[in-house]
Amino acid sequence: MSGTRKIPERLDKVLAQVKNLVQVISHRTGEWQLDLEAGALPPVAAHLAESLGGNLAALFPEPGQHLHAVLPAVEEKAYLHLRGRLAPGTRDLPALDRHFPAAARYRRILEARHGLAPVGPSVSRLEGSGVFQFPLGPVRGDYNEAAGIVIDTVGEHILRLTPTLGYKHRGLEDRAAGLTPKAALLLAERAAGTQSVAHALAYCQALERLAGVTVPPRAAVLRVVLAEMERLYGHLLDISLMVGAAGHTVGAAQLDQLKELFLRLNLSHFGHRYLFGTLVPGGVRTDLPREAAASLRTAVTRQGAEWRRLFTMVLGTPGIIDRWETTGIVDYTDAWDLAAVGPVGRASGVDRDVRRDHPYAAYGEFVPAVPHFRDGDALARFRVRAAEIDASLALVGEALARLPQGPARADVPAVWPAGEALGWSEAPQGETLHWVRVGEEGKIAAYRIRSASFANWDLFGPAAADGNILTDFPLIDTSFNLCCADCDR
Amino acid sequence: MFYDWVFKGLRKGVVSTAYPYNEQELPNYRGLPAVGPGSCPDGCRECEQACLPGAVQVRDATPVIDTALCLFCGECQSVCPRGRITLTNAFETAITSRQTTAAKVVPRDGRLFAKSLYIRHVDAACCGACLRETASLNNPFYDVSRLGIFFTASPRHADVLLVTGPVSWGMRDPLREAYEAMPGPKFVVAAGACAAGGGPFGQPATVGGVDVVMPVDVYIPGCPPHPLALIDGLRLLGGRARKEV
Amino acid sequence: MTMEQELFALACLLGLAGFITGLWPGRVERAAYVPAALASLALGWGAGRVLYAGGTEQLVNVPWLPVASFHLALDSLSAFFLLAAAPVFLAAAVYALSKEERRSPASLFNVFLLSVAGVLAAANLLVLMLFWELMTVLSYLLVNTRHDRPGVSQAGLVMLVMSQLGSAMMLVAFFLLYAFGGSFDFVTLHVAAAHMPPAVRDLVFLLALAGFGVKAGMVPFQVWLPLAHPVAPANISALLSGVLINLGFYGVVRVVLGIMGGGPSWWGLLVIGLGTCSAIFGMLYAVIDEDLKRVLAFSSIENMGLILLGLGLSMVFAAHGLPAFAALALLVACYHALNHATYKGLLFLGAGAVDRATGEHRLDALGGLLKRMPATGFLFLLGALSISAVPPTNGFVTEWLLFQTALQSFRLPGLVGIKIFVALAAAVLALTAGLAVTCFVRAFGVAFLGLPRTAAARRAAEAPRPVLAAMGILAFLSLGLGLAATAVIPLVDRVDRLLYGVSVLNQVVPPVWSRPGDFATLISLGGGLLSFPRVANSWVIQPADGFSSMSTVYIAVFVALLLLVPLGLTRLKRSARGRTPNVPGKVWDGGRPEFLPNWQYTAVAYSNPIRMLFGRFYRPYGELEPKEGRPSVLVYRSGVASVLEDYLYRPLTTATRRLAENIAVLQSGSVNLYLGYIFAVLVVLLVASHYFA
Repeated sequence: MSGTRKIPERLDKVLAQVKNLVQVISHRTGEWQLDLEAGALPPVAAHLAESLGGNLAALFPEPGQHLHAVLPAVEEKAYLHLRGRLAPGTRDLPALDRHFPAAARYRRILEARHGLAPVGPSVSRLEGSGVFQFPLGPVRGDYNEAAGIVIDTVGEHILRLTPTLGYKHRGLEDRAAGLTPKAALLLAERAAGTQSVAHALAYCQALERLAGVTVPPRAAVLRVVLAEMERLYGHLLDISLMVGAAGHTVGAAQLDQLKELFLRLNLSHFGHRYLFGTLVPGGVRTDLPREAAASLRTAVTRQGAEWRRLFTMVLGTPGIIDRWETTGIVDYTDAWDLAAVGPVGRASGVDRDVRRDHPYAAYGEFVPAVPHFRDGDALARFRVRAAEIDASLALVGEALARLPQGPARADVPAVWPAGEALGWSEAPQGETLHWVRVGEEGKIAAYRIRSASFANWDLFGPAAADGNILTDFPLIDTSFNLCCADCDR
Repeated sequence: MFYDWVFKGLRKGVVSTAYPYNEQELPNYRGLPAVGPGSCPDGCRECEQACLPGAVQVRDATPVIDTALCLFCGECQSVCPRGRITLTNAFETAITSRQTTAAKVVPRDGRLFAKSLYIRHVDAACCGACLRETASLNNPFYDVSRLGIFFTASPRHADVLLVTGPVSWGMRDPLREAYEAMPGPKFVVAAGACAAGGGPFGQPATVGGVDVVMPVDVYIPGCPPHPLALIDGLRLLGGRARKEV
Repeated sequence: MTMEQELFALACLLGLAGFITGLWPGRVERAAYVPAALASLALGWGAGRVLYAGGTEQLVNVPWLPVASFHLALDSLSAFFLLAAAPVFLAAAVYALSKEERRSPASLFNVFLLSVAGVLAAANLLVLMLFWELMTVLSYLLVNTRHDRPGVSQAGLVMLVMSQLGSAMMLVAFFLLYAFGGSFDFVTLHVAAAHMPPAVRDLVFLLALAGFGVKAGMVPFQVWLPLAHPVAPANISALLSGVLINLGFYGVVRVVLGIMGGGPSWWGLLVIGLGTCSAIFGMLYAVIDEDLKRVLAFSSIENMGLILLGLGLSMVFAAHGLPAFAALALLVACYHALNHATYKGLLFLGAGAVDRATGEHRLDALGGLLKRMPATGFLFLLGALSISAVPPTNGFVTEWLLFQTALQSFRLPGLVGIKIFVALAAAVLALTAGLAVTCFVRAFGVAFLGLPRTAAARRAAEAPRPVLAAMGILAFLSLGLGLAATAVIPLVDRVDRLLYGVSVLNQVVPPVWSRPGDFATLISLGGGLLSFPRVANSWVIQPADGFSSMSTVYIAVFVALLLLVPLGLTRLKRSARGRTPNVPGKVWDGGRPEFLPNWQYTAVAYSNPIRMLFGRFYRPYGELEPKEGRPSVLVYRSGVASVLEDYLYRPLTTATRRLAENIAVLQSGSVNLYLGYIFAVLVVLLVASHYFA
């Protein structure tokens, strides 16, 4: 479905140089869709990335039909969605590895997806006297997600760390095919339970943009409130785990208590601790009455004050800070090349935040303060998350204070129109992209998710191997706190 | 700074709940669906078609709900033309058999673990919510160590295998290995709708619920089950009645 | 002829027979070890009789050279060390009876045995020197058995060069003694040495310590030990560590205590210092080495350090007028030398068995051997327990006594400086003891436990019977020396009686059974238990009255009870409850399908924390590099610095080479110049003889 929007000047100039390769240009708010032959995809994508200063955000195939690549155009606050048409019957996909180091991980997953068993990257052998491998199998220590991690070590020093994902593949994307958009929402929410709102938001926004549905203002603000409540408990969870990994169980318990209070706020005001079932395409499922909004605001303020007290205490505990300093450093070049997102990227200097760069819901009005640092160590990741908690507290208070009147959801068509669209949101872990294609009968034809953790997993190995010892591993692990569920889907 | 932490804890005091030794209510919780009196319209299968995991089936003009599969999403409640299905606040959802939901049979040797129960949690392919609720059991509010329930990283020390998430093909063998590594007597608890019955994922993309791979002693439905519901399920294993000490 | 002379003669005949038999090729050669074994038995028996009698047994005394006769005699000191050497020779000979490709030549072995006996039986310095040189050359030849393998010839050469260095220093010392004492004979020199000028005495002490110290593996002369041990055949390594280094110690004791009768306090302090350095140096390198035999070699350096520490304490106590404690310290040192010979021999034979079965002695290539070679593993374990000083083994007895003796330094009058020095030495001793346990847990664990890391380790099979028999002999002795310690101490005490004229038997093994009234406290602590069989004064060992006490027999009984009682109870309970079958389970590895051998800790990894902790000493380095020719493979190169080689030997050899290059200009090849040299030297000599005549 083409739009009639005028192409921004800079983008126009850049596209002019590849006009012979790009065929059809269509537009939706925040997304420019370019169709081209799959073979032309690598050079066009490289040219666009270079000219607009972005990096590959997502890459997913529809086997036998298209190869999709997504690049951000930050100045224009838009995504460029390149849709490469594959020759019918071909199984080969054009390689973007040469221009985008981040493309290698997509290729690996694609190659592994024929079977359903987990496959690690083909790893070069590590020789040397005394070097052995320390496996952290899929079944890891207390409440850790299932991922295979192999550490090449010579006793204390981590020489190399290789994660193997794929153990948790549930076939979510394939299961969604053939379902109504409303039913598939239940799957989208459960891509990752602790980022349910972010995934549901991205999914709903993709559907809304596909059908041209405008979300009413009240719903948009409520969506901001929901997303920030999720960010609050998510970051508190991460920080609590980080403090626990540094051995400070008292601090971890205090932060855990605070997180539990936020989960209880979610339950009492929105009906579910993890905010499942709060979003629907078109708006939010149930409205928030005025008294509830007021009580939520008071509670958040009070707990925000408690958070600030804990934050000061943690900063003043050298036993914790010493362990985070210079641990698990991700340097800026690696972060940029591998397209790091979220707090991990921002702690290494990659200043990207979807809420600010590609505003959705009511973020155009409530612009969040986005912190970033350059150190790239665990301490920087803590600082980023702490600053984001402060920003979220402010945002929630502001949003609840200025909640506009009106309906909490818009009307949506009974049968969803056919088409495809991108949806995005900033999860606590970072930039999340969903792509949906609805078929002729109004059912989902194809569905792809590119979660934030997917982008960051490749940084985990280099961060851990950089002169760290085995006892630093839990610190690095918790400072990344990568989710395996939405990587394996 | 050391004193700060000490005094903070002391000032906060004890925040642990006394559950299961007292009654608890969760007023806003979307809990067990209840089927009200009346009858369904002829040939109406709205609830059955609306249910993604297939938990609701209409038999003899009455919806029958397999609580193990139920996601507590409320779709059936919103589509029922006669409003027969309502989601209550009941969170004590633990059952020991999917066939006869009323049965709450204490497993054999259960009394051995009345005072001390060691749990090995395995994440089959959980989305993360059930896992976090399980982890919440150790926070100061729920604090299961006061009940003698502990988490261990080694299956050799464990009495209970607590599984969250549907069993993916990749995790089928590791899950089996974890079970084999546990010395008897041992129990299996499937926590959450996905573990209990496969959830909305089902076959062939996943193997299914945990009971496809190994016998399950306690199912704790929910998506995710509230930590109190988890405690309710675990106390079933030890054969503890609510008011016992 | 007395019984001892007969035994000695028999041993010589057997040795000769063995030498001749050993010259035949084929299976006859292997049989030549039988006379060697019998000869060592004869020597051991004879030495035991002499030691028990307590006097000096004259063996041979025939005129030979104008300056010295060919005089062989065994006094308590010689007899003790001969008795310590005999079992190791016996075991080495029995070991060699097994079928093996490159075994040490039996003929040389027999003569080597005789040469060692000659060194110990020598009654004057020239005979000692003669047999010493013979022994050195033979040991070089025996070490060099597998000279076709890389690195063996170099190792042998280093050993030979260091031995010659030591011999040179010994020779100077001996000639000094002759010049100022008028004779080479021990007894005569002992009387004359008391009147020698102090400067000469000091010089002789230093030269003898250094000269014999080379053979003993004392720092800084120990470089040959870790080179020679891994390349020699296993039974020769056992002899190197079990006998040869003890001979070095014997030499020091003979000259310093036997001839010179001890000296001022600084002699003892120097020996303590060198002993402590050897101990810590040896152990620090033992705990990180990757080769099983080299680990044992460094451990020998450590143990020799402990023995020298005992000797040094003895000299310090004697210099400050505490003869009883001097005797105690010497007793500990000699007893430790005996013990070390047994368990180090055992460990080397075990390492040899492993080498035969797998072809490897790198620790990281082994693994899982206990399941494949259970008897070897068990015996090796006994050796490892002994050397780690785990009660109630013999290693524990002497290590404990050594600590207790060091603690007696509080009895030294005045002189805070000396007490602090000795206390520091005791602290370093404690550190080495801890590192020793780590070292052997690592060596045993990586080699024998777990899964085999290479195909070579998977192929291992149990060692043949002669090997097991040889190890068994030493293991039995080792245990016996531990349990029957109170029966061994009277024998070692004979050495004290000879050298200090004092018997410490009743001090170290209190006669609780015969005089219970005097030891009421000890009895109340349980020291009077088990008063049978009455082989000695009692079962209790103590450094001095009222200080501390210990009994290996009681420990052994207690440990046995501690093991057997619960075992018995569980067996009863199990039969009552009905047997549940034991099911072998898989190793838990996080749910992976199979536990791979390369997931086990390697020897290098196990000691990595120690490498990090003592980083200033080791200066470790480690880097990941792409492999040459195959850049997709990464290689981790790591290692440690070799302190003495980098800071002492390399500068010395470089300087020597440079000096030699500079002097080499003299060797120009011109005949005229050489004639000129001869003329110049002639002129100088004529002038000198005019002036000094």
